[in-house]
Amino acid sequence: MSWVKKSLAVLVTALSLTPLAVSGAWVPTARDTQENPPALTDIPSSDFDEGGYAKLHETADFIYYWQEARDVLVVTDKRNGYTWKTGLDIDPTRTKTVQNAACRDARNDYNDDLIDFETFEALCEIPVDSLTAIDPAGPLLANSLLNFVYYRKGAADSDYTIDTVYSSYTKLSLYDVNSTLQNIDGDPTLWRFTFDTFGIGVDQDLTMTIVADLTLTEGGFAIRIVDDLLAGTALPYLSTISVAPFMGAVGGVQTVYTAIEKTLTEDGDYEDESGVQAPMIGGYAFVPDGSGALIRFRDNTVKLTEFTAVVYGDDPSQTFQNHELALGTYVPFKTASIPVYGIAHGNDQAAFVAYATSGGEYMQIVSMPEGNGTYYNYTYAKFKYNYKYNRIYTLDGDNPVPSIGDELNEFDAELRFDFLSGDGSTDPYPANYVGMALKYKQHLIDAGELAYVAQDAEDIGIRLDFLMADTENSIIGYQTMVATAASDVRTILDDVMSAGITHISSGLIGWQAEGVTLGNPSRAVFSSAIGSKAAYRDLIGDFADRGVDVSFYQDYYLINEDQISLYRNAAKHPAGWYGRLLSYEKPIDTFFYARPIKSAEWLMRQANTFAKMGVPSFTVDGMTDHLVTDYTGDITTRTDAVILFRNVLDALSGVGELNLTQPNSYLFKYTDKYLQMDVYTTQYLIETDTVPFLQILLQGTMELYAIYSNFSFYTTKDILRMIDYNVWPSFVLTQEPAYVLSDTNSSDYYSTEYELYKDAIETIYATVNGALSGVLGSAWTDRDVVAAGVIRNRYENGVEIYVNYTDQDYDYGAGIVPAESYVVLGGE
Amino acid sequence: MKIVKKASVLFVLLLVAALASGTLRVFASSSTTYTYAFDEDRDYVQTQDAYLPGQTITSLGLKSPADLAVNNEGELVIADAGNARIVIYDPIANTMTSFAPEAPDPLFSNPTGVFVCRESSAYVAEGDIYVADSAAGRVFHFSADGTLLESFGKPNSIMYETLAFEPEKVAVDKAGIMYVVSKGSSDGVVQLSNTGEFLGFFSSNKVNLTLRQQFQQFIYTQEQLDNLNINLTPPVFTSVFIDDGGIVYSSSSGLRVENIKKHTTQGTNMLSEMYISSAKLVDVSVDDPGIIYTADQSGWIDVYTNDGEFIYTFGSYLDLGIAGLFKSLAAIAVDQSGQIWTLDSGNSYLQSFVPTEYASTIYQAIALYDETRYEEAVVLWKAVLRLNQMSMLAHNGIAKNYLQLEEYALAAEHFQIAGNRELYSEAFWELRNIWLQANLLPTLGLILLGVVLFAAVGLADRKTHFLAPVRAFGAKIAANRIIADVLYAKNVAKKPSDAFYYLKKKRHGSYAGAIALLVITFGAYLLFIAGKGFIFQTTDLKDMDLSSIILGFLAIVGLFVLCSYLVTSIQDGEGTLGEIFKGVAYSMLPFILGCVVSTLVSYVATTNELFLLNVIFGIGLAWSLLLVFISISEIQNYTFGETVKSILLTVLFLIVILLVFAFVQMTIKQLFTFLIEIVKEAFRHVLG
Repeated sequence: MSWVKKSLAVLVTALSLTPLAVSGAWVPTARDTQENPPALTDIPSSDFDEGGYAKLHETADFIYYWQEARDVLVVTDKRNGYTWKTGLDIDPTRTKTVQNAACRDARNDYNDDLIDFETFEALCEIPVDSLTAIDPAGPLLANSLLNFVYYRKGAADSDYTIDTVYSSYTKLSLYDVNSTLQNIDGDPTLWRFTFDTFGIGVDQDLTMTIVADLTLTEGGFAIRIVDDLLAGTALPYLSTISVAPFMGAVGGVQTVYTAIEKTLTEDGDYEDESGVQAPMIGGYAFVPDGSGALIRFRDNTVKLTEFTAVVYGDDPSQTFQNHELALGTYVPFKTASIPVYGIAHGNDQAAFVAYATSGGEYMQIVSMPEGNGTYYNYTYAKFKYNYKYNRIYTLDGDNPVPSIGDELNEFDAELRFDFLSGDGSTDPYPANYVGMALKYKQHLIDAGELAYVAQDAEDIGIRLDFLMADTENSIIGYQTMVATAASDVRTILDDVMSAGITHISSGLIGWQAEGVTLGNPSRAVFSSAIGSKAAYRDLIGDFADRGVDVSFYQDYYLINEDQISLYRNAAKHPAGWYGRLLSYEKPIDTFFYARPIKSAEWLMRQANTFAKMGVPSFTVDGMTDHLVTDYTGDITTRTDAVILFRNVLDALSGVGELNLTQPNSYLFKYTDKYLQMDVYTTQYLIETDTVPFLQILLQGTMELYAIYSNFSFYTTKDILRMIDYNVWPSFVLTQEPAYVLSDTNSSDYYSTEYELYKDAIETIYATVNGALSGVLGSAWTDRDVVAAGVIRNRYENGVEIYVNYTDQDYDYGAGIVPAESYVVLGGE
Repeated sequence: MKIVKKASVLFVLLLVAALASGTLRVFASSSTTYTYAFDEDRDYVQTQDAYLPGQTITSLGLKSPADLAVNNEGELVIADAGNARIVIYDPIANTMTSFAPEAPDPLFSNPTGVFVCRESSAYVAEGDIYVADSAAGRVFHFSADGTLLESFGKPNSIMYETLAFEPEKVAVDKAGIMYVVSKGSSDGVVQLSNTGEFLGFFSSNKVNLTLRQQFQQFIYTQEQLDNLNINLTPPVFTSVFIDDGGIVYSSSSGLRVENIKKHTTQGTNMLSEMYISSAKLVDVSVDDPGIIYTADQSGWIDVYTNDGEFIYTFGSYLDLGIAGLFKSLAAIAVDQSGQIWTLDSGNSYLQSFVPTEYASTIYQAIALYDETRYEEAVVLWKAVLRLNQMSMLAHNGIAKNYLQLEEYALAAEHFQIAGNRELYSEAFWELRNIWLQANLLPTLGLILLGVVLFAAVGLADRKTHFLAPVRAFGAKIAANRIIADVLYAKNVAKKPSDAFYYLKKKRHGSYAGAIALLVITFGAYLLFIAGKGFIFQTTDLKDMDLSSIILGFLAIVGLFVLCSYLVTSIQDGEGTLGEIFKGVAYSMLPFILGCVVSTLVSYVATTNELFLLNVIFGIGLAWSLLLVFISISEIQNYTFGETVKSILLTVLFLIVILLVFAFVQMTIKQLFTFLIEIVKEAFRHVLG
């Protein structure tokens, strides 16, 4: 079958709504990738002979220095001459007062003809960073390799404030810090950083010791905060530890001084001007929001909220103080499914990617926009040890008492920094988000968490999920509304296959007797109205013979009281109550979180039944992208949950393929099909670009399926995005019209009837396949924006795909990429 | 998802945010908020995204911006209140300029309202900018390039002497007449001539009191009323807008009644029956085709058709710096390409929203209907339906076009899905009319034939008795004890006095018959409340609580019988409990007939004939009540006066019993909950 079209001449999708012109002017938004940032014209240099720098080590690519007074690790990348520092490395003593005095003295000397004007200028025109005005925390925050936040316990039991302590230290204030770097065993690549604090807490009587092992690696360095070595009387109050918050920070506001030459009539003088924006450089921070977001360095005139991501998703037990959460009316925020962030300076010149190799489940990634407090744009990782929650003592849950956790989260936090240099012409890792993704991909491949899989299919796959049934209120109890029966699935799949689409996989949603919402995840109860066991067995078997993978879909995370007993099944919040989520839906409006151990157990139990029925794969949702700490009896931590889930999926991966919904990185190893892949970000105001970081990371190692095209993801631009992001189409279908389920919890599926989507499935599949079948099994090597709204993706087999999102044709030199279309070049 | 939108404020109080993951699997979307439309019960349901967040502009240095307008060049004119200046921003070129009046002219103090003239006339030029400044107490008139032309202070009018002039918003028509929203003014929108003279108040808001408050107004003393603290000041106007056709629109913040007004030239509201989702409207804007956009302070943007039909809403409150979610939505404007521009005054940035194909299609379909291009509109509405089969707007829209195209069956079908009973009734009337026209003569012929046949058969039977077996069979059935007892209700309805006498003397009727009659009554009642035709059946059966209907029916009948017995037994009544029971049960036949007949009629009636249904049901009910009255009188051997007295006492007694019962039930429930919680607590602590 020849799907490969050289260009998409006319994209008349069945869904193109109207023969009339729709205003299609291309407006660049944060959902697009913008053009490359401006290049750095001059690489800043540091004089390491002065200022207390000690050389730690030198490799083929890097020279490492340590600035003991300010706790700054300095790494000079010999490949591009760029110097990275874990802190800003600013002199905390150079305040405005000091510089004013220096200027005054120099002016006086100049007017007394003791020095010439050039010397006056050199002495006076040294800008002072506004951080030094934030005394003493400003320079400490900017310089410190580590800082920690702890809960300062006040007079009352419930009175907790937070306070930050920095490893860098200048003068006596409320507490005392002693931080040192020592070599381990004479190995020049192994160093131990010890950060001792005394006299903290309300009564200034608490101590804290943090030990971090610093390894100078081939690609950069790694910092490991050793859990066993955390010590001190303040330890139970430890909230978070941040690592190198100002590494790669850009921006800042300065006070600048201008020397004025004397004239015949007037003496020389100087002027100062506060609040001058320091020169911004081009570049961005990458944060793992959805598919990946860039936060470009820019000068905001307003304060904006920072970006904060809890890696692997919020923990309903620890992220929120209350046991009860309400579902907002907005689109849920995207999960950071990988413990990675990065910063790039200039245009493909210098960058680093930082990722957790341990403790990712307690990692948070923060990006502070310019315009807030420090006037720097800085991005960093922190690790969470303790949390605040509201303890409940009354029956009705009123008057909760703020408390902190009894036990710390136990984990070693290891953050690895790899430096990237150049535009990718000398190595496969350009100094941009593509290089970051490829570098992290290589790390996961080396760690055995990812592997390229050989692709023998000729066409891309399509995911067709079926929504079978759900329950609505009835005059007595509930009644199951059937939208699709097993026999309908057969008819629909036959019909799709008759159109020549054969690489299909399907999940059956709500396959149980009581449908999606009330189907018990711990059992497998079949009903003849939807599909009997025999009907399903035949359906699955028959299609397996024809190469189509049909499997049962189940959410093992959110449960409700009418579905399964909460007792010993629902996870408890530290408040002592079951964590609950109010959804304001009908008929079920309150959901609970399954205990991780139960999720694993139920999956295993259902999978046993499925395996006996000959099901070729398992489709798992909920437990794939959520981690809840369970406070039932012996605590099940997030780390425990990760191990539990990995074990159960490891066991299942030998039995059948695994189709996981938005899996977190610890499950990548077991994922055969990635479902519902995000192609957007949460769209924080400070995010400027959306990039396919996750797609580049996973491409070639598993099948990637996009979000359902049914719901606001069907337009020409959305189809182009599938091609650009290298994800395959997916749909959710029913036999009956969608309104059959309008009074059920599935009423959100407002458009699903197969009859309406038949043409769209064929058109969208043909279009995406036309572009992506040519790069099946070939590694994605680069992506760049060749013009505003025009993207070029390059693959290992030489194929280049140009995607033009704009409403203007684009001339790539040897031809035209038509407006809102794509062109595939090269290859066979 | 069915939500009560304003509960979102509550969500926020509950917890700042239910963030990413603790949530249900809801579909990923290119937007940040969902778009909600109505289902047939006017509950919110999700639909395809109507708008996507476009550009976020954070670089203009705005400080608490308060208003914006779009000029014909597509530039945004922003009232940057915190910086006391007007900013003109070109979103295409990404350039900005700003201006403010300079001394000795009056200066800006807090410019919160801005309006741009879209057409030149003898009084204003295209691009002229009017600015309302409440703190300065003036309205400023600038040319398009920012030159101050004139400014207007408090009008010199005796009528306006005692009132403050603090202009917050302004709109200007082609005659240069200014419509000014003055801060805190509850008298209405101030209308000023082009020379700044006071012309009067244009439209005013009414105080809307609940029934209870009206009652309190009626009976309370002034002191008591003061204590109640009822807000008697009408909702304040928040914004005023004039579209290119010169129609004045206003928004108000307060109760959810008439918060958006589309004014006639006299100032009255053309949209009085409009659904208003928001109580805190801050701005209104209207595009060229007349689509109305409103902004709510807590971040919701609602869109309505030009005649006030709700299309959809999107947005939300959330102060986490996410595009499309607002800290404090202050103003809204729509440019020529249909993009919505908004200002967040809390975080001082500009945010645009780009319409999706879904939204554009809906607007085109609405426009085509207005242009009477019904067939084309149907095609577009069908496309909308394909994207959202639950879109009541589309079903309604398609049906309206079908109605105009005289496709009544299709119109009725879609109106029924959309739950639009009024227009369904119209379509149904037409269908019925067509049917009658086509079938009237044949039907009359058939009826005539039937009558003739019946008479002929009767005649033949009288001669040949060929129907004797049938009659014998009928008689046999009628002779069945239960059936005979039930059928006796016929006699009760016809000659109640005699019938109740025989009933009492046990010559006719029985307990079994009475119970059967009550069962039938209940069935008929259920049929009436749940089985009517679409036009009259407003509640769905599955939304009804069957157990409470049964319980209520039994409680009322049972308690009435019991109370009546208790009351009559101390009032020298002669009847027993059983006799009263039978009396009540046997009185029900007219009620049964009333229920059944009106239910049947509901299938062929339209809203015009609602009275017919009511009359039929009313007659049945009244007749049955009369029979109950007679039954008590007969059975107890009471005079008319005694009967009245007895019934009144019975009803009073019944109410007392119900109250006592409710109280006892509540207490028991509390006790029960308490015991359950103790057991649960024990489980929790023992078993963890």
